[in-house]
Amino acid sequence: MRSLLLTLLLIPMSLLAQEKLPAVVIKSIAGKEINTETFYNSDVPLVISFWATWCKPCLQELDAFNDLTETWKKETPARIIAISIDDSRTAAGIKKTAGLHDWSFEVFWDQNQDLKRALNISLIPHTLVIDKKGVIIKRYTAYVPGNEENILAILKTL
Amino acid sequence: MRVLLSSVLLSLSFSGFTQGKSFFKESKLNGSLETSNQYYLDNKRGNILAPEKRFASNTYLTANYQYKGFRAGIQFEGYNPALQGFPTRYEGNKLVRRFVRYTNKKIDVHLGNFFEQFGNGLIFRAFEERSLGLDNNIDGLGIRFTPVKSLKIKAIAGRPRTFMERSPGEVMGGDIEWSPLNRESDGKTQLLQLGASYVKRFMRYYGADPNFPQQVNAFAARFNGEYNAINFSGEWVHKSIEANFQNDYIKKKGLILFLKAGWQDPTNRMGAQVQFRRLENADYKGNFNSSDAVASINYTPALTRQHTNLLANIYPHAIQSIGEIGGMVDFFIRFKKNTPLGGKYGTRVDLNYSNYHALDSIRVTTGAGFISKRTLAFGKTKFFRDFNLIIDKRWTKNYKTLATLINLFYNRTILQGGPFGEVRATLVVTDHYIKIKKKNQLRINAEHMWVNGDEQNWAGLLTEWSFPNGLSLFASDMTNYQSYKMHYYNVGFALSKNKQRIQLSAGQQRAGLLCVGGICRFVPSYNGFSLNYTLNL
Repeated sequence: MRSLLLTLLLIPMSLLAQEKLPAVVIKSIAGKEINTETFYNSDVPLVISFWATWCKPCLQELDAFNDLTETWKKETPARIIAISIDDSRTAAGIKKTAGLHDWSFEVFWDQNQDLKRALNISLIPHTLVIDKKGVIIKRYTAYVPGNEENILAILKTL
Repeated sequence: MRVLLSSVLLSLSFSGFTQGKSFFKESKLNGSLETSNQYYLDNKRGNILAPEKRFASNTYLTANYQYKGFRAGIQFEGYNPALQGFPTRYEGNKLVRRFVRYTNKKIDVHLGNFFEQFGNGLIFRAFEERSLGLDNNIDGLGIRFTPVKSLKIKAIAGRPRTFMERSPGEVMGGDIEWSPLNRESDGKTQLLQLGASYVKRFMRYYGADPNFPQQVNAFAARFNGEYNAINFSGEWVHKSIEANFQNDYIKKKGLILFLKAGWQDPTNRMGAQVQFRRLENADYKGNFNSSDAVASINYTPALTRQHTNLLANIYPHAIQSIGEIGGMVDFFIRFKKNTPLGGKYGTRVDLNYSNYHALDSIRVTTGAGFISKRTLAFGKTKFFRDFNLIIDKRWTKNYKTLATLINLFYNRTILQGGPFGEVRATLVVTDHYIKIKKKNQLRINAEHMWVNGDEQNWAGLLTEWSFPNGLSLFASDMTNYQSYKMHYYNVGFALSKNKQRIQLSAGQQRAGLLCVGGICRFVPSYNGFSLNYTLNL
């Protein structure tokens, strides 16, 4: 009986260890819809960072990613994706902010925070490192300088 | 936590277990725990007494499960009691959200509690912003149907959440969006989207007025487009007569007009944007008797810069949904590296201006309350004006600054509701980011605000030290040194490790409008300790 209970508990726990990026429709900055499923069909690791135009540590993190773009390109095929959670108050600033910071990576918009909610994210910045199969292998729940180098070290192993 | 989540989803997992390994491969499960706790102390100098219950706690526990196109989820909330600043009707412990959802390429069906938005949210937006105590999710049925790639249809029916219960009002609506042009090549976008929405709210009225509008109908039409460097969008919302507590039960139709146009150089060296919005009886209530913003079923946030500095948030714009007209202009220019103005690392200059007035209207004694004949005219009463100049400059590899100049006008009489007069303020902020030993960072934020009126001048200072192991130490103080000489200080630490984050701070919160995520809420003064913890699974 005890082993049966243990097995029953271990089944969902094994699922917890294999958290994947959920398939949710988000938008490009212009408003074109895209399903996040297409992200992990590209057979490369992903770094997905949730940010907003008013979030200073988010901008700092994305600038750090941007500064390292050339280094990253040499060492990993990983794709960097920045997903804004700005609502209609500040959404007009997404394109402006991406332009002002001259980010070289892709920027998308989680208009009503469907993806953020599906991933149970409560605070931003929140960064995910995802392997080629779409499995989330690392979450960063805040930005501290140096995260970008730790992420690169993980990506090199994927 | 894991055991709890496991138990919740045990039955789902067990049924799938019998279907073989593919079940596990396709299954996605995640959950989270977020808890905010405060312990209040008396503040004798400020004559602020702690509440009778000195300890308050808000807790949110969620779990989501996905197996191919099928999804299910729950959210449990506990307020024991709710933190100060939250409506007291958030109380007790309850499973406040549960849903099942099925999605394939053409259809997305949501049963239970769900979130949805039509267009810009001006006619309908169900969303959650926990830090502000906002959650108006719909308990009912939501459908998204995509018959062809260029066409999307949405339909919703149900009751919005009001605190721990459902609103007595029923909401029903539909939205259609057509994309006749949708091209992207060589980084250039050519996009055109046209949309229309309808949202009905019905709530039974038991009073003596035979003409009270139990049913309110709202219609919206919108466009959104981008043609290479140019982008444009707009939305028009018309609402039939709506009387509610917040508009003093006047019987007036509603109108919202929103327009936006922008241009951005393809090489991102320069860009500009203009937004215009007019609101007239614009708040669309799920419950016409509700006195709180949580019962709204549409979303009309302040279109102003979202300030993140200590002092600028003392005077944030609070929208006047009964009648307001104005807009915002943005401009940026980026000076490239190795140019005279760009220096070695480049320079970013960001300008922002917003201005809001009352409508050009006259009061009437009929049930409509007021009429506004010249739709696009600005009224004489100014609510708010805000000018921002931000210069972002890296000086060396390890030193960067952000200099901000803000000049604002704030009509306290209107925005805080009382005979408080007007405030004119100029604020200077300098942010310094200093990297030490590559991964340690010291951030110093120094602010001064010259204020004409109210509590006069303010000064503020924040320092934060971040370490590569995820630890941050911070201390801040802001003081109205010319008037009450009160110090609003805060010291604490935050630690982020893997999927967890903990923050402990002690200090005093200033009374005022707290703006997070684009909405403002009045928060009373408190003095004490705060502990926040989040865990993602």
